[in-house]
Amino acid sequence: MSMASSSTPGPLRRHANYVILLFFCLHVGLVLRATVPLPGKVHGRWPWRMFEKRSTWERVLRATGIDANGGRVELPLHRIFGYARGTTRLFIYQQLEALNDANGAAGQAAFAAYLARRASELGLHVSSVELQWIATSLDDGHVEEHPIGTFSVGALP
Amino acid sequence: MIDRATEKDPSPNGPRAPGTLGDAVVRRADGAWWSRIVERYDRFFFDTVPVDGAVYFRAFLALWTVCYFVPRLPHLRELYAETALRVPHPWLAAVGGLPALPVWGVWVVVLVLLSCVAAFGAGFHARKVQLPIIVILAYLLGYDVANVRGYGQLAFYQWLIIYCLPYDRLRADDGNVIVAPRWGLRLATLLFSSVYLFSVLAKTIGGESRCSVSCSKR
Repeated sequence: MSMASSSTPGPLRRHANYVILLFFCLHVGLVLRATVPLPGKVHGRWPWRMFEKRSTWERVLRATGIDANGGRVELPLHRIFGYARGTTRLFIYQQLEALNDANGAAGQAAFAAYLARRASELGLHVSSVELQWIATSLDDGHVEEHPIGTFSVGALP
Repeated sequence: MIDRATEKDPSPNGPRAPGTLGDAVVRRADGAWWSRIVERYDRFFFDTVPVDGAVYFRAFLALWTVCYFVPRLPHLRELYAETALRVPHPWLAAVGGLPALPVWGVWVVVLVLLSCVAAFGAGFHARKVQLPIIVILAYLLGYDVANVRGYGQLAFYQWLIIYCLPYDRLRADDGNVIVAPRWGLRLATLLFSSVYLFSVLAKTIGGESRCSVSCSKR
């Protein structure tokens, strides 16, 4: 709904042009970063890639606490974690990169320690925590277990 | 020298006028082409339009941000005060990351944010409160990028872009809706468009095929 031609003052217009130029340069840079084979971390993925791939697997985390006598009990993640994304069951740990990274042992151990601390607040005292992903195929219902590791949590943070 | 900005071919689709052959024709055509681009650019970004769109954008962005944070209020400890659950922004992680706040500190930060957002949405010193809003959002986003994805990130960039919009006042003293250049509104529109453009590119250029089924299980 154009009302009239521009009457933007010179200095304001010059600054506006700089902002527009910066906006376009950023976007051109994002395209080049995603398409040109640049070395190392300079190369990046597409921005806004939330629809990039459709996973045919649904996964849940299973955390099993092991007490000093070797007794095993499944930790109640639904009580430990309160926030879920929207109306989904995507809890915050689903986004933790350390749980998806084979080299993320430090982050996984910290997460296990956090679980043990929260479990102790709920009356469950454990000395180690076993973590594993349970993946279910959405196509055929096939279930697979993917162990993350077992972490000693004797010294809680 | 030919003034490329003002000179136009009087009959661009008709027969050539006598005496317009050679270099002069080329130079004049160049000038018309360039001046058309400049004119289009000028009209696209700098035509003046009523500011009601910008004012509504201000109000709805504030409303969206409130709706984004209110469901998180009961879970601030989990979301912003537990270092074991955080995924810091990679750029900030490279320089040591942002400091973790105690739970009460997170409460103060978020309540200040919501107060500023309410003032912004109501148009009360909107320009002034936008800076603390951006700083707080940058902290929360930089502290943990895991719980701000997709549209959450888009909203953060909108908080930057909206500074370019003429959202300060809807009506002038005479009661008429104010008109202003639309370049900020155009940038906001282009940002929205780029999200879907990039989404399509990410999906179609090496999208699903880049990750095997096995890698999506873990």
